[in-house]
Amino acid sequence: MRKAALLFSVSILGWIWVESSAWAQPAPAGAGSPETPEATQPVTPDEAGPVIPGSGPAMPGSGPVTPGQVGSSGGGGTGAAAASQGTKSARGEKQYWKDIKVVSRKLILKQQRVELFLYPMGVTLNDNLIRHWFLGAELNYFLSDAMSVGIGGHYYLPEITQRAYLMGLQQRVLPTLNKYYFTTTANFNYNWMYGKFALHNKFIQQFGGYVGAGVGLTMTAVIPRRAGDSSWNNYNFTILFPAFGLRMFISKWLTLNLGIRLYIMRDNFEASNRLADDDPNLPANYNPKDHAAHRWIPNLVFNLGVSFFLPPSFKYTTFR
Amino acid sequence: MKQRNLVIAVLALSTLVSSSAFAQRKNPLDGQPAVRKRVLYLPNRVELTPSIGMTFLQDFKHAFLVGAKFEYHIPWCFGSKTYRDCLSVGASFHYNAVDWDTELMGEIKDTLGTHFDQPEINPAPTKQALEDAVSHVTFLVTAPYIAYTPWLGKLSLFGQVFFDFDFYAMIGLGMAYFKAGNIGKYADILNLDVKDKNGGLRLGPSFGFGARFYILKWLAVHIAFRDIYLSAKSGQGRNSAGFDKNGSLNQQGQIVIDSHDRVSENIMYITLGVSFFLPANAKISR
Repeated sequence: MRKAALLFSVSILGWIWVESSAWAQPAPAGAGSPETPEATQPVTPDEAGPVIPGSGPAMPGSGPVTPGQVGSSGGGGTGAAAASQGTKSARGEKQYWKDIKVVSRKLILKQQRVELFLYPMGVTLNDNLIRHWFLGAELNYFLSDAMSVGIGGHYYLPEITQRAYLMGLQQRVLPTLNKYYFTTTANFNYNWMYGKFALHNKFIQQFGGYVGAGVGLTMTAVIPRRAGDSSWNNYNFTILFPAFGLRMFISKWLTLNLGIRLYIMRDNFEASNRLADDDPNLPANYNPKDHAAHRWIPNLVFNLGVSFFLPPSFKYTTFR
Repeated sequence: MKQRNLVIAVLALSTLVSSSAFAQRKNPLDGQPAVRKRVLYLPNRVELTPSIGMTFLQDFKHAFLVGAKFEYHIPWCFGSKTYRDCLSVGASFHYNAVDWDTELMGEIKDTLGTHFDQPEINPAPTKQALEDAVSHVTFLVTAPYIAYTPWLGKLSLFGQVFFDFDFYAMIGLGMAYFKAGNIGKYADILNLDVKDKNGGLRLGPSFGFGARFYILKWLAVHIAFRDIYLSAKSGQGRNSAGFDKNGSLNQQGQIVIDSHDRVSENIMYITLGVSFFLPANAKISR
């Protein structure tokens, strides 16, 4: 009889365990949310770190969470937090969910990972006479979740604008132009902004913003005003400052990126008094490059691309 | 033996009950909004945004703009019950308070003389003629337009400062009014036949986007980009330089400046303003 009672007790405990396991299944943060189940797993107060009454708002996955923050007005809470207040059942679900505080985790942790940023589309913005489209890539290593160092570069495709052609006709001025071949820089980036938004209050999307700076090289070539004259190439020391970028987190290893960057360089242009190559009075040792006009050039660009993070997976660690 | 059978029966029954209960349980988040208890900054509110701005990527003259926009946020979003923030209608007006030379304009001026030098051989304008020829933006209007605000969210700066924000795109009718250049006074010197005054109102489609960063329930910082496209094909382009484009001559051999010298143009400008919302108190969603 004792054996029977013992087995009965074990079976009851087993049933309770099965029940509690079922309850503990992670719930998505919102219907149709692009976040992975792991990324949206509810974080209990224990997991989220110490509860600090009266402390400031907590960012997703950033650790301390005060009970009043979840689902509070202004910032809003996630759907799971909301469910803690609204779901009733005969089993007392309401009471159960009430105890769960939810903070959606960062979709991507970048620390000690490599980012391969490919941008198939970029364009220079601040030259009315010659526009450069470009495509390029960048390789970054994240020292921490906020800081990264890397190298990158892009190749330009020049396009003379209509205004450059009209200048000769309308103002009787031939523009002095250089075309760009490539720019390559070593960069440092700092992620200064993190946020999330909801599309139609249904799909939660996370994003991050960063600023960057760097140094490198830009290769340019002179476009001679006279078609028959010779050209030459310039290799210009280039400063990248500032760079502003935005990453939209799609999955653990994929982001959609866009950015605006300012490259500053001192370029060499054809001098206004350059002697023509076929000038009969051209000195034997005349090199037009030696008489070039120097000028600082701010090259403002916009780029759009995608980033792949390697390794594609990572172990989630909660910051405290 | 009986005891063992009893235990097996109890175990089987408990497993059955738990699995059926698990099968019946629904995800409590199904159909729930992503964000609850959020401030309804937009539905059924009026937004008034005084702002400053400037044009960019202009060929000859940048304009510093002063103006405002008025917007009414319709409390309806394609029948959604949880999100009624997405549509608004409005109008904006920006006046060119002051304009200045672009870098290109400055460089062209540097190459030009202060006096005409044998214009029959070299019909290059003087610095002053160039200045007189270009047209100027007087004001820019986007009205009416409809704005679509699908995104709302929050962000942190350096993990310390937190804002609610939203992001929208707009499309509507754009209007640009230009003050005509006056190249006509050089017509005799430069052998011109000026038929197009190169000023007045131009119409075209307008599109843009913007973001609001909420400081209070009734106050937000507003950043916006607008583009008014003026199509030469529909006769709404602009000859911003004020000179001939296509080398057309009249019977007297004069260079004709007419509407065919207009080119398509994007009038792009950015604005920074402060949005005031009325009524001042915003509701909180459930």
